[in-house]
Amino acid sequence: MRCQYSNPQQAILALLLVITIGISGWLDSDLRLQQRIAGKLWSYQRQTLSQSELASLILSTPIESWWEKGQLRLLSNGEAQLDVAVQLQEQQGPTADLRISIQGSWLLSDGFLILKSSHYTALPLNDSGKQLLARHAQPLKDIWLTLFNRSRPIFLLDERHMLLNNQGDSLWVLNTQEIADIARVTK
Amino acid sequence: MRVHLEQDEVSALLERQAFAPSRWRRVLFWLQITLLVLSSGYGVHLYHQQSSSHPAPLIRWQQGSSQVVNDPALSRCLFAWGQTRRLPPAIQLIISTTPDTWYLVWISAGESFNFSIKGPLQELCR
Repeated sequence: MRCQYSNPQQAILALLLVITIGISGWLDSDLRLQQRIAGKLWSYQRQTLSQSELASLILSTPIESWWEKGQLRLLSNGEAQLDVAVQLQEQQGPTADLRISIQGSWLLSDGFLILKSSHYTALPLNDSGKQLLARHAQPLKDIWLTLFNRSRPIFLLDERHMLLNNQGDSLWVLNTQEIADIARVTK
Repeated sequence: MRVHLEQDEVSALLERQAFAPSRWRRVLFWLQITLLVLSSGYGVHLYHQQSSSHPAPLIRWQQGSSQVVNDPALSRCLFAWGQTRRLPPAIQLIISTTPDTWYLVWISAGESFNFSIKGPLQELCR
């Protein structure tokens, strides 16, 4: 293209410039990130390979091991739901099996994922779980809501893996399947 | 050597001078070209950054950014540890540390396992 500095040439350039800046801004935006994580079911497993200090402190009993397998749904309408199967083992005691569900909302702002709870339920799945809930229902609820209600920096490792930085440099990586894919499989 | 111009050559020169673009128009044009190149480059960089995953098998996560860990002994140790726990084959491991705890994420094709470990990570290999 010969440089004529003409009005049409400059108008085309200005249009291209606006489009390019718009695309770059969109690629770097919360909106783009939101589109990539919304409408998906994110799952994970988490295990503490030593005594869980926070849980031991709050529940006033040494928790030898903490294992959880969870699924976090981030719906496109801003609703969030976390369903977790938890196994807690008190010192030299049987394993308490629980199912924790937290409903709430999610929001992305400035690269942070903000989760807010609105409803919490905990169900025992065995006798030990029932006993644990009878003794420590409120502290357990406090732990889970404290863990849930946070804003965390979010990083997409790729299209299927999301990394959430908890406080300090602790990591929480979740992997996904499209909710539509899951619905298709379960039909 | 010809020193004078023909009438039509003079006319062409005068015409070109009369219709020459102003300086600000030229500056604006090249400013637009520069911004277009810069914004395109930034867009391509962002797209590449978002679409490419970290190819390294072991990375360390620190202050919101990743660093490749070139420590074959540690990689071998962690992969062997995962095998003894019967974890599915890992495509990537991520480690992170706070003053008293290590975090290890074992990422396989369909699952991700998050571990927190007290004490040195190398303890896992003993």
